[in-house]
Amino acid sequence: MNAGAIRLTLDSPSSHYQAGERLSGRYMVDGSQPWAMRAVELSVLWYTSGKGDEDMAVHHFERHVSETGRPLDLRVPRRFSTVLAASPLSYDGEIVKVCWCVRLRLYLPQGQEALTEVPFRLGNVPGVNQSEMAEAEH
Amino acid sequence: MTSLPDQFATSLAPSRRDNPFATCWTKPGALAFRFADGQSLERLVAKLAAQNWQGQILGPHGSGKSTLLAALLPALSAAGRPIREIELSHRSRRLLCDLVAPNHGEIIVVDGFEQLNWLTRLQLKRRCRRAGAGMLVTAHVPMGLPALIQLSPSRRLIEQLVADVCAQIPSGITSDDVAASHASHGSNVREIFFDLYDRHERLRRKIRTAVSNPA
Repeated sequence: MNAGAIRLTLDSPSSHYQAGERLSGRYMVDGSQPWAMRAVELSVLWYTSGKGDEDMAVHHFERHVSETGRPLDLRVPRRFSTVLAASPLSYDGEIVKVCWCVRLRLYLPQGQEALTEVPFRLGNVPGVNQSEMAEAEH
Repeated sequence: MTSLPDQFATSLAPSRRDNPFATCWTKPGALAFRFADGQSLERLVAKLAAQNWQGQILGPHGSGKSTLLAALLPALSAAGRPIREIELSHRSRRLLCDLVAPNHGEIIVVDGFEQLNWLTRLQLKRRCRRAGAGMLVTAHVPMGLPALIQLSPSRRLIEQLVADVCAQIPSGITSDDVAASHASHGSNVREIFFDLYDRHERLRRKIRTAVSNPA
């Protein structure tokens, strides 16, 4: 499956949310015929990224499975919605970043998978800027 | 190595794709092991088999021993050899090895064999020999097992690794940056990646500051 066929979008054009705010969006898969898929999972999660070990936690999870006689057809957009947590807030640090995203995973036949994710920002914590980095070096 | 795209500099939401040298992209198993000319995974598996499944991967800090191990283990499993990895933690190194009872035909794998004291290493080797089990270890210096491969990444290999990393996520890191990092850290790829991580971060923020505050 071409990753370009998967469309995951957030309703907010800025992709910037506050703690406790509702995050919503939709996902679909382009195609003139339905892609054969066993299941689809959508997660809203946070993870750390940077120089050290990584942490992650799932805030919202939903899974939809193809059933006999009722195959999954994602040509029709599906919506998702969740109220965001109070923490951790997004942080663009020098050594570690706290990142939030919506991740969509498609389980295709023969054990194949397709994955796409859309990052978003939670909160207003400022990241480290260039002058702070220069100060820290000296 | 390509320059940072404009939208990269203005992205509001932090993401693992902000830095191609973040651990998630460079840790053992995340990056494909690059062999020097004449070497390959298949050749190493054949050599290990010829050595009765006994071997040590040698190399200095950050030379790719754990990365090679991560690549080798699935190949050994595919070759029909059961694998048992012994994970060494600070508190229970000796205890873990005392509990190991190797089975015939399996390969005991220890990443960082020299973290064990010489008596524990000797006992483990003896147990494996008696049970007809193989041993595959990584170490900085020879540990009394047949050599499988000695790692010493060249500057050319390091440049290729950096290109591999940057192929997925663009970076403004230049050949001069890589040369400077290699001059500082030699063949320690881990430290080079850490250094390039910092260089990429500085560059990314410099671009973002320039975009946010145009002259």
